[in-house]
Parts: sequence; C-alpha cells; structure tokens
Amino acid sequence: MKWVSIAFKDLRVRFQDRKELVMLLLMPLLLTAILGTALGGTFGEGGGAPDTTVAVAMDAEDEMIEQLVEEVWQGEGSPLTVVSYPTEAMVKEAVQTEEVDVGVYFPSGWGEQLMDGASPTTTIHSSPEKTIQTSIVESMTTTFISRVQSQSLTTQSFVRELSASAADGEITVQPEAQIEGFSERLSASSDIAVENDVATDSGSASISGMQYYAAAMGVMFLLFNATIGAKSFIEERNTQTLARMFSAPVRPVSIVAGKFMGTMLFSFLQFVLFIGATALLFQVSWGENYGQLAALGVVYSMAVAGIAILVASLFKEEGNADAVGSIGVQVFALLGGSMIPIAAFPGGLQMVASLTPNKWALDSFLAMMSGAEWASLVLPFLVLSLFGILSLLIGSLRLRGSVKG
Amino acid sequence: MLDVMELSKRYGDREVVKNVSFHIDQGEAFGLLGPNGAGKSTTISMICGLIASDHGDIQWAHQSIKRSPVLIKKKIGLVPQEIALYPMMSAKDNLLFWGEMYGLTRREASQRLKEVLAYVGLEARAKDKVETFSGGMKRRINIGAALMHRPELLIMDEPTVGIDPQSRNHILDTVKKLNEEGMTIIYTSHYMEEVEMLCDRVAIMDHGEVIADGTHQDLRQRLVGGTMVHAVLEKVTHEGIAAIEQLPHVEEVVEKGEGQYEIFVQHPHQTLSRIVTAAVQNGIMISSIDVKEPNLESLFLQLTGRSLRD
Ligand SMILES: Nc1ncnc2c1ncn2[C@@H]1O[C@H](COP(=O)(O)OP(=O)(O)OP(=O)(O)O)[C@@H](O)[C@H]1O
Ligand SMILES: [Mg+2]
Repeated sequence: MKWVSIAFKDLRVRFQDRKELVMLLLMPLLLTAILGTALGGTFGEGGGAPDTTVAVAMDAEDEMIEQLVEEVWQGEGSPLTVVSYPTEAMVKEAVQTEEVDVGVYFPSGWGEQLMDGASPTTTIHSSPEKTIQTSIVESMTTTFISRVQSQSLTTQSFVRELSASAADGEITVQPEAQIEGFSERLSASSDIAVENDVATDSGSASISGMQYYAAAMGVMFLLFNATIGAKSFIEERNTQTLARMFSAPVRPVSIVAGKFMGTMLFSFLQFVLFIGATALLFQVSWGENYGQLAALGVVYSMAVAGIAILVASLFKEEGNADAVGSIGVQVFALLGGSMIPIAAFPGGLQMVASLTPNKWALDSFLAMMSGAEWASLVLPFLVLSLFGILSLLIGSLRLRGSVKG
Repeated sequence: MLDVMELSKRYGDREVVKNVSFHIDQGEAFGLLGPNGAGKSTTISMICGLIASDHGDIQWAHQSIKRSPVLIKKKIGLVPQEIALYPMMSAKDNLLFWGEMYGLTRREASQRLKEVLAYVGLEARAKDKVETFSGGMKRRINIGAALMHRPELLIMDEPTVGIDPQSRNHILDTVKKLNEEGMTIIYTSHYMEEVEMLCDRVAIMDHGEVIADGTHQDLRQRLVGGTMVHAVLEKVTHEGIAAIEQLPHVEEVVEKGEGQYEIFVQHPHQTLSRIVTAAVQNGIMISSIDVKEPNLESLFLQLTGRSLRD
C-alpha cells in the first residue's frame, strides 16, 4: 500500500504550508462572508405578489436582456407575464390604455454596459394605480443588474489579487483592509437594497444569496487544488524525490495513485471543513441530505485531483503550472458561474460552461439546497467522476512518457 | 554479484556512456572515479533502473535487471547525487517514508529508525524539519534514507560534494563501517583521496568510458612510469629536458608551468640521481625535487593529460 504512504505524506506536507492553508481554508470563508452579507436576502415574495403583465420594447436584441426577461421575469414562481412591443411609443400606449400593467424600455447597448460594470438606464412606464406591480418589476430588474455588476466586480478582482500573489509565492492577508475596500466598491456599484433571487430552475425552495455565494466560493476554491496538486508533482520531479521513488521498488501506478489520492483527500477535507464552517458561522443550509453532500464531495474532489495529474503532465516548471493554473481557475470560475450566474450568459457560452467541472458542482449544490432528488444528481455526479477519471488517465499516459529517460 | 556488461547510453547524438563494463563482488567497496560529466551518474541510473540503457545488460546474480527490476531494486539502496528529501518534513518522517517506499511496514520502519539515525549521527535532530539542517546534515539524512531497508548493495553518488570537513569525515567513517559490516558499496566521486581510502577496486571513467580499472595495485602498475618525481627547476633548456627524457627508466616529462615538472619514472631510487646529474650537466638549477607515491590522480593525469578536477 505504498500509494497510501504517498498520499498521507502529501497531506502532511500540505498542512505544513501556512500560506496555502490560509488561501484554501480562510479565503473562501472570508469571500462568502463579504458577498453573502453584502448581497444577501431572500427572494420569496413571488407567492404573495399580484399577477403583472409587462410590456417590453428594446432597441436591439441583447443576451443580457433576454436572460433578465426569460430567466428572471418569467422564471418559475414569478408573477410576471411578458408581452413584446416593437417600439417604446407602443409600450407607452399599452400602459396608458391599461392593456398591460407596466412597460419597460431597454436602450441599445444595455447588456454591454452591464457587462462592463456600468449601470445602464432602464425606462419604466407605469400608471399611478399600479405602484405595487411597478415596484415588483423595478426590484427584480435592479436585483439582476446589481448582482451581475457586483458579483463580477468583487470576485474577479479578488481572484486576480489572489492569483497574482500566489504566483510570486507570497500571500499577505489583511482581512480588515480587504473587507473595507470591498464594501466600498460594493456600495459604489449598487445603491439599492438587494432583494435577491438566484435564477435556478428548481422553483421549489428558494435559495438565499448567502447560500449561493457559499456554494460558488466553495466550488471555486476547491478548484485551486488542481494547481496545487500539479505543483506538488512537478516539485517532486524537479527535486529528484520522484526519481528516488522510481529507484525504490515502487510501481509507477502507485506513485500516480498516491499523488492523485493526496490531492483528492486534501480537497475532500477542505470541502468538509468549508461546509462545516459556513453552516456554523453563517448558518448556511446545504440541504437536508448529507449523503448527497458527501457524494458530491467525493466526485468533485476526484475531478479536481484528476485535473491536477493532467496539469502535472503538461508542465515542467512549477512556476508555469502556477501561472497558467491561476488563470485557469479564473476562467473556469467565470465560466462555471462562480462570478456571474450562468443564466446571464449567452447560449453558446452556457454550452462551454458545461466543460468546466465547477459548473456541475455548483449546479449540484444549488439543486441539493432546494431539496433535489438523487435521480437528478446522477448526471452531474457521473460527469464529475468522468472528469476525474479521464484527466487522470490522460495525465498518467503523458507522464509515463516523460518521467523516465 | 553485480555485472555491468557493455553498457551504452546516448542523449541525442552524444554518447554519454560508452561500452562500460565492470564486475562487483559481494562485500566489496567499488569506486567509480571521474571528472564532472564523465557519465558516473548516468551509469548508476541505469544500474538502479531509473533510465533504460541503449545497449548492454546489467545482471544481479546472473539475472538481468530487465527481467526482474523490482526484485533487484529492493536489494539496492541509492543515495542520489541531489538531496532528494522533503524539506518540510522532519528527518524522522523522511526516513520512515523512504523506508516504506522500500517495502518496510510502518512498524518495521519505526524499529529500524533508531539504528539508521545512529549510523548518520543525527539522533538528536530527528524531530527537526530537514529544511533547518546544514548541508552536511541533509547529506547524512540523504544517506540514511537509503539505509532503512538494509540494502545488500549501497550505491552512493558523490555523497560528499559541497559539505564541511566534519560531515565529510563522518560520512566516510559511516561508509567504511557499513562496508566492514558486510555491505557491498559502489562509491562515486571525483575526490581520489576518498576513493583511495574507501575502495578496494576502482574504475576510472572519462568521457563516458572506463579508461582504467582494477585494484590500487593493478592501477599503480598501469602507470607507465610507476612513480612520479616532482621537481622545481630553474634555467631550463630544451636540450636539458630532452636529455632527462632520454635517460633510462624515464617515461615522460610533463611541464606544469612556473618551473614545475612532473617526471614519470620506473625505478625512482636509481633514476633520481641520474636526473639530477643530467640536469646539472645541462646547466639546469634544481630548487627542489621529491618522489611522490603513485596515486589515482597521477594515473588519471597520465591517461588523459588532464587533472581530475580541472
Ligand atoms: N537527461 C539528459 N539529457 C541530455 N544529456 C544528459 C542527460 N543526463 C546527463 N547528460 C549528459 O551526460 C553526461 C554525463 O552526465 P553524468 O551526470 O552521468 O556525469 P557525472 O559523471 O555524474 O558528472 P558529475 O560529477 O558532474 O555528477 C554529461 O555531459 C551530461 O550533460
Ligand atoms: Mg553525477
């Protein structure tokens, strides 16, 4: 059982690295706290709200508008019904003649501005009798706008700072300073009290902002293990400990299995600690089914550990793996919905998102939080296992060529 | 016990090991001497099954290592040239880990730990992280990691490079003791004093080839001039040097610059007076002259025209 010795040796070494522990265990908690409290709140008033018909006109078709209209306004449980009109004038007329309750007009470039972090102007036409309906439309729209803005802003800059510092191997953590900085940026970008919903498909139980960000951050920070695991492998190759293992009677399969299991074990521990800590500190509810949670922990850790082996087979220098890995984590986190909800992506990008394991993990978390059945989790769990197994296989094959000779 | 047979290895179009053969008996201490880049580490890596040879074979008790690599790896302990340890872990944890890699159970490794720490003289630092150790102490743990499984053959690749004299002496004593206790040893170095002190037999490598091998006695006899006379001369003339070279039993005169000459001779006691006479007759002044016992350094010098550590 030499692979067990190798895996536990790796675990021991990893717990010696204070900087890494801070990044992997404390950072996601900090980020969850910041994002969750700043953008928290629940969306749940759909049931009591009056049915509302909204007239919509836009200068140009736009992916972001489409997401807002289709995923948020017409999402399950939403009281809105949407009718499209070709011009703003006709929307106005429809409101005046009481054909509809509220009218909304999006100028051209609305979605682009939003993606750039700006606040696009949205014109809402209403009549004095329809204040409740108007405020529903207004609040759902501002929620959407501010979530897209602030989430992309905070997370992106946080990850950029993190990976910049990780790349020089120096991480200085000044939590107070960072919280202050981020609260400032947050209040600058959204001046509205956010009533939050997450555009999930299961409408049964609603998910709080805190829950969403906890899942998003947990998933994103577990992804760092792919880089860290790869670096540990490359380090063994460059410091000759790998060669020493090969000179001992250890089969190559045991070495790769040991390195894989080391990363997987650490990821799983990180997963358990993160879920435990968020549940205790922030009362995050991760759903009722601990079996599902544990299973997700196992398959996602497997995916991350497999990718670590694949990355290790691609690079000769730790520094390169580190640099590319940090960018990779950012791209994956962005694509997989940890920065902007996937619902805000155009259709093509949503397809690409399915290539990231964290997207499947995040989906599973959100589904589990609203009480998913096992049956609905089979597909994501299978996909995550496949991620792990395939990248482990490809990585091992590539390594077999490069380790010897 | 170990036969290395016509081993060759090339990287690209450079042949870094050329047709190397030698044999090692049980209980022997065998030295592999050669300058940087001679191909010592490459040869060792092939013996340990780390890299494949292009040609040739290595046999352990007449069994090819290609056929049963794992069986043979268990019997070998390799001390790599680099310090291959985990700096963040303690000396103890490193030793236990490498013991396990060589097939010991945790229990067996724990029992062996004390003995190995005693061999390398680091009992007191067992719990400290390797990264806090001096270069010499790291080297000692590097050796200890190869001793955990009581190998039959200990292969040491330049175990004393770049360390303080105290650690170096400790290591040399350890190797001598292990050999006296019956362990077979291959010792690689470019320090000929170490190899002369520790090893019964020596192979000298240069540019990938074994250029000489045998016991010290064999090698001494292979010196063309069995003995080297070192002389510091003044007012040297070509005719004078030519006259010395033509003396009977003088094999070669090598100029070392600044008036220093190395004269290889067969029968130093008769020849010395002839050299002095010839010098004086040719008007050469002798500042000093002495007879050096032949050693591996002088053999290497003679075989290659270069000093071992040039
Ligand atoms: N993987 C490799 N690829 C290309 N060339 C190599 C490789 N490994 C070794 N060499 C070359 O082979 C030659 C022999 O190297 P080797 O390490 O065996 O020498 P050495 O006798 O151990 O020297 P040293 O005393 O410096 O350790 C050197 O010229 C080296 O550059
Ligand atoms: Mg070497």
